[in-house]
Amino acid sequence: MTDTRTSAVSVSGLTVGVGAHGPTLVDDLSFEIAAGTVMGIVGESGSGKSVTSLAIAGLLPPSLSVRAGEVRVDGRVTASAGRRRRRGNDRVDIGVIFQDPRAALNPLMPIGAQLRRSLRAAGMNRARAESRSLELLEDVGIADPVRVGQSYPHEISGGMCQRVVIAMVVGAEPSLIIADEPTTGLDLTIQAQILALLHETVTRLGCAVLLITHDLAVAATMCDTMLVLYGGVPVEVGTSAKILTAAEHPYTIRLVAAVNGEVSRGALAIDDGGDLR
Amino acid sequence: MTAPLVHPTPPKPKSPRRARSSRLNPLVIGGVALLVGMLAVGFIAPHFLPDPLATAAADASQPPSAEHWFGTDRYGRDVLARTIDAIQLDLTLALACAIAAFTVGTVLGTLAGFMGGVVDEIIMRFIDILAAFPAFVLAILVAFALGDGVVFAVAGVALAAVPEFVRLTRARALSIRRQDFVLASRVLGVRALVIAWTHVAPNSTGPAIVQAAFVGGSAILYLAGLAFLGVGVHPPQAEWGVMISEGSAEIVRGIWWSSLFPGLFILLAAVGFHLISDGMARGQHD
Repeated sequence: MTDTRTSAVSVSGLTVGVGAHGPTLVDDLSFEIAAGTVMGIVGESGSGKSVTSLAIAGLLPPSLSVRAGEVRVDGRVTASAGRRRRRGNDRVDIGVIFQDPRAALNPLMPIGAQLRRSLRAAGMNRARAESRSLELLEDVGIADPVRVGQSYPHEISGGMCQRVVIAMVVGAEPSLIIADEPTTGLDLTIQAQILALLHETVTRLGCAVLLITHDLAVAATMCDTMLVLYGGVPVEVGTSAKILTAAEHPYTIRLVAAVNGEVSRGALAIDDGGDLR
Repeated sequence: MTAPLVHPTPPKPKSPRRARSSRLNPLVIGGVALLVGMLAVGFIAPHFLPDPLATAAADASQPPSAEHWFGTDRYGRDVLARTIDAIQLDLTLALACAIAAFTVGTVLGTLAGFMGGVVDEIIMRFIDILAAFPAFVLAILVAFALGDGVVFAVAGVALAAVPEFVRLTRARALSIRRQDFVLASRVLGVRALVIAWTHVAPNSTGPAIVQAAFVGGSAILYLAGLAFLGVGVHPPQAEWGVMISEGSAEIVRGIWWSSLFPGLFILLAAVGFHLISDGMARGQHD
């Protein structure tokens, strides 16, 4: 851990809403992620976690728009107010790992072909992409990359699919990896493996990671810093240690307590949130 | 938290499922068998039959007999020979219609659904115009406007079928474009047209393939109809629509055989295509 880190990602005043006048989904969100660190966004369903990640990747559906603020990845603006959507060819260094690994792979194309295509898109020639794709599959712990490379997504397990997705993202060598609930659809042992793989990958690549999760335990093991979203509003930002041990905001305190089993689950849900804001 | 769970005996990895091809619907098999059987007859039988164009005034308008199974038409030509001779031509034309309409329709539908916005508007308004005409009228219009000829008749029938392909494909593409693997490609900076071709199109054409088989069956009816009206294939070429047209004048005189048998073959071919279409549609709902 050095002091010479640069901010790979900076989000300032990001506000996302439905259309121009509809409800606001994410309100005035600002944070920075240093290269080589993991930032977690924690919050319950509907708190704006996924919308935030889509906005940063420039993938908001047409009905949603960035109303204010901007996102910079490596100094380049990837999302800002007034920009409808990204054009296909202005490549930004972002890789996305989705919640459902099967949906993240084209069901009609063998895995190896998809991996090679993504490498070719990153500018590799055919032969290089071929050999690199096998390397990448090995790197993510797939023992027989040739056979898996010839398989279709439905022929391998969800955990394997997620490994392939990670291999794809790693192959593109992005500055930022957005992992949106990357382990939610997987069972517990696989979850631990995938998280370990993700952690190892980050260390090796030295990229910034934005980990979206509703699972405070996952966030606690993975993240250097954390941001707690509640109803689209950032209620707490800080290092993981600080949030887990010395949270200041009442929502965070209850969230941590709930995970530790000190409060019944009901206590979180009963509040309508009015006093928490 | 990551204490490894150890299985007493680790379960063997499941062998990859390759059951897709073995689950071909019996309807599809039946339809393909029917069409392939017809084609085989169309290729082989003409060698054993009289010349489909040879006239014989003395033998004109004979009812079915041991010598002429399907009888003869008013020029004394053997109806069986002509009906069989037309198989190749009719099935080829039907296939050409289905393939042309499928290609144009799925390309436009993928573009409309995936690109959205102005592209979508332009394509769909154009399709609305096409769809506003009754299919048969449109086919006649196109065939007449472009000129008389088999190719133009095929073009007319294909164009009339395009709107349905566009709508089916567009509807699928609209949902595929929001799938994670498409989003992931977009983030990677893959060009839109490449994404459309590699990811969106292959995943959006399922319903259109079913429709293509259906159109193959309808195209035979349309082409026969056009030929009946004198567009496309012309006499003395043996073609089912032409034969029905030629025979129609004689039906009132009780000469039913020169129209009935080509009509039955149209029915057979249409049933073959529709069986395939129906079978595939059922397969897709599984």
